[in-house]
Amino acid sequence: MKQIGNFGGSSTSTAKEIITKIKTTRQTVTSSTTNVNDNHLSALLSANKTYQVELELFVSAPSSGGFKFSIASNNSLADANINHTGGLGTAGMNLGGNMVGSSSSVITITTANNSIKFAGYITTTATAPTITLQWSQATSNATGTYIEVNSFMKFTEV
Amino acid sequence: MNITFISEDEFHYTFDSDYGIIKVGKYSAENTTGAQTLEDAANIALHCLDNTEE
Repeated sequence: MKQIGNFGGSSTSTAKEIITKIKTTRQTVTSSTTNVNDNHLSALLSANKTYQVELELFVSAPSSGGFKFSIASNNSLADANINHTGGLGTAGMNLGGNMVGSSSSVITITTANNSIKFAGYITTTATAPTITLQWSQATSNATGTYIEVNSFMKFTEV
Repeated sequence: MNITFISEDEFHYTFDSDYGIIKVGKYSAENTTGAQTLEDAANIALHCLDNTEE
């Protein structure tokens, strides 16, 4: 029998990495403008890779509380470019840069059940980074701002 | 709604609840609407979803 091709065990896998994180319970911040780490939306990426980034957040906020956020990395990134849509009267925004210590960005939200979508890419360096959504109210208010269950973040290696 | 106190740090009291984790800001010069005591924070947590609840 003739062997066609190499079916031995020496071939290397070329499977692309997909990392998905989803909120399994609601999280609320109230009477505070100090960003907190989201307790679900945080992911450890691999070193020296580029990922397509996708997030969708289901956010509710009182009229004067609003929502602010940052997408933070604990290590420098080679490159990053993430834009968002959603919220009232808010233009798309480029988070850009390496996102380490990035300042918070405010999205105007005054009602329940808003969808905010983020898309872009991240290129990592030789040091694997953890990417974490951090958020709080834009203006301190006793009515809570919350991110609902099933909000998610997804990183697809390209 | 039932709430359970979990922890506190410099900026927040944290509670678990029927609706997931609730973080209540602490009172400070920069956050004058924050909770001044744990009891105050618990009351805020109990009512914080009233106006945005579906």
